[in-house]
Amino acid sequence: MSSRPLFSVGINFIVGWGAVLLLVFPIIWMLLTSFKTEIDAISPEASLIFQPTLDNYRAVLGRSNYWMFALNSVGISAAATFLALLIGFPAAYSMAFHPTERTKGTLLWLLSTKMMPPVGVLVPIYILFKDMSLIDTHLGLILLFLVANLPIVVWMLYSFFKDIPRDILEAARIDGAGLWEEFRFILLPLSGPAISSTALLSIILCWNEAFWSINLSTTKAATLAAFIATYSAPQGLFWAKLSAAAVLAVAPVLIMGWVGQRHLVRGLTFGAVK
Amino acid sequence: MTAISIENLNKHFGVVHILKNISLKVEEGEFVALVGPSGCGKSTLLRIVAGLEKSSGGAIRIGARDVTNLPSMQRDIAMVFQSYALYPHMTVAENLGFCLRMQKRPTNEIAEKVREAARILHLEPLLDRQPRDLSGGQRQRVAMGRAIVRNPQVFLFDEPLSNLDAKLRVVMRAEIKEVQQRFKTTTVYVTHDQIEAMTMADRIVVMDKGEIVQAASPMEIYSRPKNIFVAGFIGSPQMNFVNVSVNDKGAASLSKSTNTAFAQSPSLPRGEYVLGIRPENLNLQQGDGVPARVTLVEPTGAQTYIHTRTEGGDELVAMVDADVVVRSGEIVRVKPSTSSFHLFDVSSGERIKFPRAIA
Repeated sequence: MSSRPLFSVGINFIVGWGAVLLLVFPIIWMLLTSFKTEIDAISPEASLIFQPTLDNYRAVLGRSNYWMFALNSVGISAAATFLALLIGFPAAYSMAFHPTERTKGTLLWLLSTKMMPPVGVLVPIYILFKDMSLIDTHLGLILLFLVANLPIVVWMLYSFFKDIPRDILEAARIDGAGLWEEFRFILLPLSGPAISSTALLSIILCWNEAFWSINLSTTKAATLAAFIATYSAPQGLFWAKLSAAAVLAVAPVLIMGWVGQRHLVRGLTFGAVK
Repeated sequence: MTAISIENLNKHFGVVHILKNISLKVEEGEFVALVGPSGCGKSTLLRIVAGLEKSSGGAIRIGARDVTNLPSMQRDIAMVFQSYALYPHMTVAENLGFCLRMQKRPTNEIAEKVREAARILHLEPLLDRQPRDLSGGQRQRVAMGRAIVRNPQVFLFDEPLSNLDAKLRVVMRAEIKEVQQRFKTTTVYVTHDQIEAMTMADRIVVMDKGEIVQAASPMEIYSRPKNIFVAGFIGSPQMNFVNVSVNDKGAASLSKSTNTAFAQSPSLPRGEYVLGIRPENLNLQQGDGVPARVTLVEPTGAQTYIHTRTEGGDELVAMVDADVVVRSGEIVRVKPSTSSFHLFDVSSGERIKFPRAIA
């Protein structure tokens, strides 16, 4: 009788930890490599025991302007996310509470824009950006990240709003709430968790977005993703320094994800845990 | 004075005609129950009165004002929803005071009115709780409180008791009625439960397929239903219907059975009819009446429902006192008590009027 639950607990344990190890292995390896010398890093015998050094961090922080890239990442992610929420919130509201026969199609179309690989529109976007002088500008990347994340923001907020009973908004309307009061007193407080998890996800996606950042920015507006890429130069690959740069680049967002994980998990599963 | 006046109201959802030329006047202080099977349009009608749904034609007046095109907030109404629709992130006190807050009333006035409503509905100990910490009955009371706090011209109820268990429903039924009588607020109450309608309303409006079939006092509806639909919808267990043919002498015999007269009244017009007889008016006789086999005996406590089938196949349910002992399979004789039956036209289903014999 009791062997069966024990057996399934064992299976769960192995599968669960196996998956976790598989997922965090690259991050752990990156962290370890960042403390190795360049020689150790490319040595064919990968080893867990080595003389740790902070040289890579010193070199990375000394050679390039990490803080400029970091500030760009923060500014661009925050601005793009803020704008995406500003546009996505009313869009999701109208689709959830005042759907028309085209709403389903609109939602699907929004999602379909995420199905195309970004490289497919690289040339037209590049030409557009060039003509509008948006290359290597903060505004250019903000607009691009905004458009890239808007479908996800709308979808997440939409599925959350779908779970709010219509009656509550109707009761508020009868109680004398206009559109603004409905937003301010009912919808905003109720969708706090949804907004924060959506914002968190959007920031993470912006932060890690590399394709557009590398291709459309050079120095002024480049984000941390582009910063990492500078260590894969024609002169060679600097594994240890690249790892140190990568650690510095993902650390802020990793910490943010860690702090906000409760919200994130709740937000991503709000339909299920209602 | 007329409190609500609905004139030639129509509602289409696409090609579906939900409400067909509805006209209804509700007097000030009156308690009107809208009843009907699901999909008959009663909730849609209520939502149009509330301003939550737009009509496709017609006019609605509340008091002297034409509110047809006014938003809900300007109609001076309060509505209690089936789901209670309490604001889940607010305390009971905040829920009660929300409408006053929207009207930008001073804080002390809001607190005063909230306290008063809480006192009437026995919600005082719960004022700081959140809706999720309340039981179904308490939530229902908060929803009621939210309606009375603002002292509106009209109360609208949309099946407010259907989420409660049977026992609580009886308690809340009385409470709603009590509050309504206390404030004498004009009330429109939608329900599919005919017992609620019978016990609470001054007037019942029976709807079917988007039309008002009959609007009258509960007893009028019960004792003089306008057609077979109303007769079958109001009353539990449902009225029995059998096809009869009436001869020259006013004797009605079951069309499917032998020639034994089932009911008789000298004033009955000759012809084919549907005869309706309420279970409580169907007697189990010793010698007289149509023979029928008992198929099911359902004791409910004070009364027992006896299901019978005549040899022609007509199903008849009788409601008898609990002390009448009848067993399943037994042959009994059934007969309506004098003149307590109804006649309906076979094709239109409309009630046929005939002079009642004085028993």
